[in-house]
Amino acid sequence: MKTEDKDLIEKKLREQLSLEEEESFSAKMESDEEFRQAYVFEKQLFENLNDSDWNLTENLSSTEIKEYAKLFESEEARKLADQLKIITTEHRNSAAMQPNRQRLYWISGLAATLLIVLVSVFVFYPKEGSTSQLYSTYLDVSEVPSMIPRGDHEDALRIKAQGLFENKKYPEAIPVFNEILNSQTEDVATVLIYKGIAQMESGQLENAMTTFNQLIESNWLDASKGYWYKALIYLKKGERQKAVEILEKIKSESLYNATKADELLEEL
Amino acid sequence: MGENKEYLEALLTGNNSGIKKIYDQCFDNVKKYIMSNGGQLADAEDVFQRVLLEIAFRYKKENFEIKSDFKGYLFIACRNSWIREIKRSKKRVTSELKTDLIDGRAEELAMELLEQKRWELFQEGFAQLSAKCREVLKLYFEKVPFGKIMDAFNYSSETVVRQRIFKCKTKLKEIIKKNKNYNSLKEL
Repeated sequence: MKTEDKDLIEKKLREQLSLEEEESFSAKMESDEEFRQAYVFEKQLFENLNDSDWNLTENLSSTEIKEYAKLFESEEARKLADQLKIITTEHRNSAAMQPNRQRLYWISGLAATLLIVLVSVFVFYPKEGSTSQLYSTYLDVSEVPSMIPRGDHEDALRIKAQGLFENKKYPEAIPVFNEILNSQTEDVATVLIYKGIAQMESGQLENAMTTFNQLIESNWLDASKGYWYKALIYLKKGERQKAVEILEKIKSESLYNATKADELLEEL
Repeated sequence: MGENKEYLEALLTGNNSGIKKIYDQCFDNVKKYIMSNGGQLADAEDVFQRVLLEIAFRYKKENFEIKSDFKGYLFIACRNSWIREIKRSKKRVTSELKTDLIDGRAEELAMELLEQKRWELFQEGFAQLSAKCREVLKLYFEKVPFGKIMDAFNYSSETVVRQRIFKCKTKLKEIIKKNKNYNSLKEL
């Protein structure tokens, strides 16, 4: 295939075609089978290997689709579908009825109210002890992306580490994070963040500091997130001034969580 | 993995307690993911049921094996299904009302199953590349500008970036096209 055709396909998939090139692309797709096949394959690469995209089926006449569709229309499939529907309803109802869960809602509600009272108290009467409360308020684990990228569906180590972390088994999770960091080189920034949080939450504040320094010194895109977590460590340690210095850096350089840093500075 | 086989058999034979175990152990993570990515509880339930049905019938037809942990596999398949749903909903003019899992949706289930199969094939091929190739191609497929890829890997020029991408992509194509399942999935 000609280099210009390859360029045309690449530009199409990287969304860089001019109007004129779009026309030429469409004409090629109609008239040149080799070009069309090359484009279909490149599109599959882009859509299957980009974590936020998906490669949709276009050819409904495929034999495999027909065979599977027939299976899904069978009595056996219908029976399983009905069963799944019933189990889903039961699961939903039992989750809603669980007394523990209701109690948890009560406790969370109460805790939230208490937190609001506490935060309002130390906004007006700042004192050393309140920094650890701010740490708890501002540590939001849900904002850390999942450690298991879509491409790593067979990475048992990451799945195990994520599970331990989500169940708050931090001391047990830390060695698994280390194992990942010793054996893998890809997408390890997120693993470092998880490890640092696990260390913070299990009271290993100096180790957590080392972990986040390691993140900051790296060239990864997420490197600057390390500053935010270092600020949280200082809050947990009650070192207000050092926390303020880092938060000011985050704010002035518009680093990760700059808005939250601004809010926190107000509270400090 | 013996446990994986147990889950698959439970689905295929309609073993109520086995399927309930799958719900107890796996549904919450899927629900959490979908609900924090623009979906509702009903979407999470629909995706979960659909993917279980697809896994059951893929196992029936192809006797396929899940090489990783079943829970991890199921989560990824549900996450893919939700990304697919979002992409499809952007293409649809009106939203579909999901009343039944199968009525009028058999073809859709078949398509989703085969797309997942194709996704796995591409991921397997990608995993066989060198770490450096995977890192560079990952950015390329995410449509990161060549200049930025050049900076990220300290390449001397954009031409070097393009050459590197070309080599890695050629290798990847060879691996994927060699896979015996590729022919039946390429023109879906």
